[in-house]
Amino acid sequence: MSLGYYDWLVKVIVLGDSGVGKTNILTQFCDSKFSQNYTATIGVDFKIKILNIQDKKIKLQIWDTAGQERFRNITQTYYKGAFGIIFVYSLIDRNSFNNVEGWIKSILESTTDEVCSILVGNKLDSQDRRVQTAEGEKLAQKYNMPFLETSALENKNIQDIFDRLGQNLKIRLENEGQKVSNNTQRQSGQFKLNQEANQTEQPTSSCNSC
Amino acid sequence: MDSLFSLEYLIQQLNTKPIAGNTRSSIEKFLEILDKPKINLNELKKLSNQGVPDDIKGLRSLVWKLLLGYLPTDRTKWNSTIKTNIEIYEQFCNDLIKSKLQKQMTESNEYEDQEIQQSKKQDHPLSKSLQSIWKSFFDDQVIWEEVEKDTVRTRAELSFFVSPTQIPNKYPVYFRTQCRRERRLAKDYEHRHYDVLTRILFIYAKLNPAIRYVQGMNELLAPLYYVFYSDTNELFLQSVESDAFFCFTILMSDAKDSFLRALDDSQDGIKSKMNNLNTLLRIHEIEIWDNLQKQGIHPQFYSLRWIMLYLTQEFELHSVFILWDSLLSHSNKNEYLLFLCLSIIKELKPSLLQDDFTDIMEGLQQVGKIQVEKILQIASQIYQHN
Repeated sequence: MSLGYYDWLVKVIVLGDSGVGKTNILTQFCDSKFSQNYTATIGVDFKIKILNIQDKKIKLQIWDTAGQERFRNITQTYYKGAFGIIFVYSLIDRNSFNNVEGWIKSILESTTDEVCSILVGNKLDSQDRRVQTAEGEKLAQKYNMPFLETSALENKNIQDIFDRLGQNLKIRLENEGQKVSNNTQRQSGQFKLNQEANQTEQPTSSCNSC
Repeated sequence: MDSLFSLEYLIQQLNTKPIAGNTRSSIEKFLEILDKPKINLNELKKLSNQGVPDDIKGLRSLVWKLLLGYLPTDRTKWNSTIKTNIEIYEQFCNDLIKSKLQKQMTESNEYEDQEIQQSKKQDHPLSKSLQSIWKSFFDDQVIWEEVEKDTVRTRAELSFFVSPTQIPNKYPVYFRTQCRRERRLAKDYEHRHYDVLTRILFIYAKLNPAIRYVQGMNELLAPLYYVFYSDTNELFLQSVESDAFFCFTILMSDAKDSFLRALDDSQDGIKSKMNNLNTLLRIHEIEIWDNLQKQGIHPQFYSLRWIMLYLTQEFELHSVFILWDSLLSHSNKNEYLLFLCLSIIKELKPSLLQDDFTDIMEGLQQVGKIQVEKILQIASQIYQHN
């Protein structure tokens, strides 16, 4: 299933502790679905979605990762070539917030500083909040990334995560004149300028909702 | 407790249920093997490798217990094996769950020596002392919560694991977890199937501190528990939990290396298993191997979960049963598992020769549509050749 024409292809990874709702955020965004209980992600899951940012189409290749510490060693192989990163914690799980900085540090070690990141506090729907908004804001400021509180359950601010991330990606990509293709990503693990844009699929306007 | 496992239960079903001819003769073959004082395990394996019929309750459960070596081939020993294991498991639960905190802090023992009494007085919830009962309570609570986060979402496509169980709730839990808080608020005091899974995995984690609990272990326990519980015989209900615990422990003796982070870079670890699959692929399907290589699709992008979880997450539960009938019939499960994985890849061949990274990845992540019978058929051909 190809999603048709796109301007850029970008690899995005989603990181955060187990049970904070990473899979739920992605499923809500990509498939407009919510399930109270997704089975824990083991290793990695993979999703595709076209994001429209103004006149540009960014094809997101999103990698959903396992949250448990045990898998970090292995999931780091998936980090390679990532250009966008979504860090997620749960507003009702203090530990998951405390651990976010560990996730941020782990990724800064294994990717270039060109990545666009966003910090997300999920489960805004719950009454049992354990992390205050100001704390999330402060952490996001420290690492110079946008911040959102979301609810995958109520589909609140989920699209915004990707819009915010997408805008930053677009600016970055345009500034650097980068045309990112799957090929360059695979060959070098970096997003280099690809003069021969290889998006040969037919341009189509019917894929807005795909 | 007279007999905890009776073959009559199976025979009676065969005699009273309307069962189609083919299946009937297949079941009769099983019963013929099982109805001997000493069971020939090789004969049983040959038969179960083709799949165990579902039509009579309790057959698969019995066969799996024999294949795993939990029940001895000498039928006269079944009863005592099951009974002993119920007792051992109860002892584990008493020692490891029945809150030490409650036992030791509240039931003060007048014969206790001065030193212990003194240390109890000094103990408190914020103590970091290694001897602190409070500290060990909070450490246990962390494990419990970690396990429970996953058991509550085990095979979420079924409502089974979140529904109430008939297994008696003998071990009150004093841990305060997110899940338990929510349940208390909702006034939900039911004993549910996932509570049993949590307890089994918690006990396993406490007894195996090197592995502790790793995500995905619940997926390996789920088929065992489901099959044992589905026997729906009052007699069997007494031992479902302990049977599942011990069978899981036996299964983990084969599966655990993939879960151990310390072994990641050793020849027994998950990485090397994924590499072995890749080597097999190159030998058997060079064309596919070439294309995956070209597209930059590393084996760890798809095969980690397949291998680690014995294919449980890729297929619906009933298909998993059929795959496991075959998997458990093999002495070298880990080796045969790679051939099952290879068979899946072979079956996907046309779609894996495409020129699109995304399409290939999506195909490899949704293999559940493939008929498991087809996979077994391919696997039996290529496995014999090796």
